[in-house]
Amino acid sequence: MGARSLARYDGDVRRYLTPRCLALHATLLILLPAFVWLTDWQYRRATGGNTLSWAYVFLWPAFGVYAVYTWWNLVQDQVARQEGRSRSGSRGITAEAAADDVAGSHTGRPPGWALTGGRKKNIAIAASAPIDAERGGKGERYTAQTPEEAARLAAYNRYLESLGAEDQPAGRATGGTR
Amino acid sequence: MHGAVVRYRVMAFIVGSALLVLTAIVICQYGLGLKSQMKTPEKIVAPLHGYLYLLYLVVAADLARRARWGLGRILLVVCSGFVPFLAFIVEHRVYQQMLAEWASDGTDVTGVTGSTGGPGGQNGVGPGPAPVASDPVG
Repeated sequence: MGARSLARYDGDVRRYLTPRCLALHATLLILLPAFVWLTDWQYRRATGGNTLSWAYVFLWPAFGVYAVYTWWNLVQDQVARQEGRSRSGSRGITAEAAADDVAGSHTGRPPGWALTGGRKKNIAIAASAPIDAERGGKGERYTAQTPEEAARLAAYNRYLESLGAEDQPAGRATGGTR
Repeated sequence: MHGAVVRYRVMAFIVGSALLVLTAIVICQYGLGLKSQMKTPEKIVAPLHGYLYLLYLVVAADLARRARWGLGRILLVVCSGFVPFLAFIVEHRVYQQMLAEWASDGTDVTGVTGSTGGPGGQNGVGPGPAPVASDPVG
């Protein structure tokens, strides 16, 4: 229980630790102290008799507020983009995929987890996700990398299906005799 | 969206111009040795540019939020407030790219019929720096 909740917590934080997000954090960590120092410097100059510096005493904190605002928005945007890449968007979702999603979220396991052993890539599942050409051939939940690959997977699945259809009556017959 | 674009373009022009004036003043001060004569203009223009730049940032952030700009484009727009001439270049490129994006989206937000669906319109939204960085800026 403890280990599991720790794992989930870890996963949540990691969204904010991708290279791009880290670069944003680093930028903010450099900019904010710089702005604080500049504000302080201008304040010392202003109180020392430089009237012009009063303009900057209020300007630098404003830049600081803007930096925090922009940093927050950019981080949220990055996280949303990452989520959108790994998870199905709400747009153009099929009923089947939606049902899969719901089922998956109920059990806390991805659809087809028993087949894949928890690995994310599975031939049958990848091809069963609808390929949307407008979104760069991305599937809904388990992305097939290219349209060609998706087509090959779909063909392979059809082949498996035909094999299964051939086997079915014979399988029942042999099952009966055994 | 139309209003946000117009606000951004106007502010980009104003801030770009103010920065050019400021640059000219600084060149006069230190390049031409007119430090004493240029004291008063500098005292007026420098803080003015600072606060105009702040307003420009707010306007740009509004447009960035509405149009869902990527990281690269936001960085370029922020930098163009303190790099001379960059404001005009970036404003032009951003406006052309947004026109192209809208043309490919089918949304005509500017009132200008999107006939400028030029190259690079399709992937202009994404991580911005790629199409822009290929340009020798500055």
